[in-house]
Amino acid sequence: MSAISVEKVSKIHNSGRPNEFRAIVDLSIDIPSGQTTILAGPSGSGKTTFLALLGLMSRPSSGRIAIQGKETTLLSESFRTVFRRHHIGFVFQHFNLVPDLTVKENLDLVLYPNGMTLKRIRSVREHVLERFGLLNKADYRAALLSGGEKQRLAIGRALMNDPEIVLIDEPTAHLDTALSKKVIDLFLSLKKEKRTLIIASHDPLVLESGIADRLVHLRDGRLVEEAA
Amino acid sequence: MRSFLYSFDFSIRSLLRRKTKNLSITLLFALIVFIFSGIDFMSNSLYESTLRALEFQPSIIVQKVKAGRQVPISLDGADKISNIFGVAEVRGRVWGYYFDPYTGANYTIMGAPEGLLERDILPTSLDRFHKETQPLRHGEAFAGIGVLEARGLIVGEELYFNDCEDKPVAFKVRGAFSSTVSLWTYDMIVVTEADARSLFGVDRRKAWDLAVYVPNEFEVPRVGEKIISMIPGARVIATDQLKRTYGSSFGFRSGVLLASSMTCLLAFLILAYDRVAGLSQEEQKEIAILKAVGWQTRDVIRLNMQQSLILSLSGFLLGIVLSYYHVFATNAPLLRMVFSGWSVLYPPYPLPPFVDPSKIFGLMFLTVVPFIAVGIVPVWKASIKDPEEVFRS
Repeated sequence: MSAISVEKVSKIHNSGRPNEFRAIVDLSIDIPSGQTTILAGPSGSGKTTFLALLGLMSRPSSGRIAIQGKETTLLSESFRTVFRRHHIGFVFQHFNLVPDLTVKENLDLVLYPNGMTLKRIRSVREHVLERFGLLNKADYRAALLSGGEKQRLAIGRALMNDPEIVLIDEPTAHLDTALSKKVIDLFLSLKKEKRTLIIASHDPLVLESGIADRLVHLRDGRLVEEAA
Repeated sequence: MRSFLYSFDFSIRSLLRRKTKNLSITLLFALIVFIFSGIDFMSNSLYESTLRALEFQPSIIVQKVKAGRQVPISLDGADKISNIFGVAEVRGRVWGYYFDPYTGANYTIMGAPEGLLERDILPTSLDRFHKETQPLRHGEAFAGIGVLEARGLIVGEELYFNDCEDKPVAFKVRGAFSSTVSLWTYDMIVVTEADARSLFGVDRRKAWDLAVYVPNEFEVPRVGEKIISMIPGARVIATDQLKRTYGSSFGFRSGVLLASSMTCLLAFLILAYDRVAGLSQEEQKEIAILKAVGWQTRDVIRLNMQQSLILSLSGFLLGIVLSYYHVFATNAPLLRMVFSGWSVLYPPYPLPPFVDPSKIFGLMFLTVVPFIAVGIVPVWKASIKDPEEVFRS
């Protein structure tokens, strides 16, 4: 079964303006459930825009995207947000943490709107902190963390709502080789949990890590090559 | 409910992140509320004290005016007025001001008919020290607390004055007025009419003014017209007229103060404009992060409203408490000069606490509600944007 089905999706930024830019052009792809797909391609090839479309953080200019069989393109903003909350985790290239909040507050943010008990929130948070080696940093402000810690926190935050689909944008862009390998190991553990991972990266370390079930190349917003 | 509590908890922690900025907003809010509520507390308290004191006043006061100045009035007029239908009683009043060179205070000395009982004058006010029903006699006085404090006396001791011929006169203090009508009694001394005449040198057939009591308030204007026709040159003052004068006087003074507080209002408007004008990039990004992790627009707006509510309500309550303390505990040193005339500057009278809840709610409605409301639109605008759009910018 497809976790995500994309049909002739285009995304045009600044439509109708002099600086109009076609970030994604007629892209179609099926992403199977429980597999890891790597979106490769040079900077500006549309990887981040495509991930944002899959993460329902942006609407396509045309085409349709179905996630877990549900057509999402025409959903209202409110439904898209709730859908994202329950099914999708997102790890941003620039982490997008709230710098003034502590590590645990950044994690709790995800579960606040769910109406969980405080006990349950604590339990989920403690589990994530432990898993990503951030227990001793729980009360640190996110701004004070190192690059590796920020990345681990960003991944932990993406997993707080236990999503089936995790979208990861350039996870090793700000990390040295040693940290990058650690982060890749984390993804391998997620892969074992049979989550659907979609990783946008042009880092050879990621591409050659063997994590990918499928490698997709993008160039100028188009799918140019696909390899299993 | 849970998510509401969590977002409330998150609101507080969020506010604590920007302590300086949020503390400044709260303090500015408190300052504005302090000034506006202070003016209101003060004018209300003065006006209510006045109304309370005026309850004991006659319906009409008749004065004789010559060359635009008040002069003693003949008591013959009192006999004529008492014959007017509807008039229950007419009293000639002997009273005047006494400057006390030792304390720098101006006292009001009032002559009362011999044999007057404590309960007959300002009946509810004599609840301290002595609750006797013995008539006031020659050489005795009831005094305001301000007088006793200024002179360092207690009930039972003697008050000394110099009469119009500069001879010393002593009065034994029989009782003290309570603080319930302090605006009018704080500096007041009541002695027998004969003692007042002797102190001020007022002729036996004359009084300083005439107090006319008319039980039916609807007859007051007609009685007033008759008095004017009977006594040429008489100035007739109705108590209702006094109430209106005091009301407009305090209203005018509070208006003057409010006008001079425009800079604060301007600061408030700038604060509001800052909120309407839009959010900083940092704030927009934070909203986009919340949206990205699953917060709906309504969650974000609720968070913003809670933060605004916490800020504005803290500022409001702080302003109200400080204002209440300033006006009623410290006697409003910052506002008193504007509201008080020169003649009552000393001895300083305490302001009886009087708070009109409807005005407090009115002020809250005019400050807290707009402050919350103006923040909604920019937050809504930011929260309906796609998170990706914000991250890209």
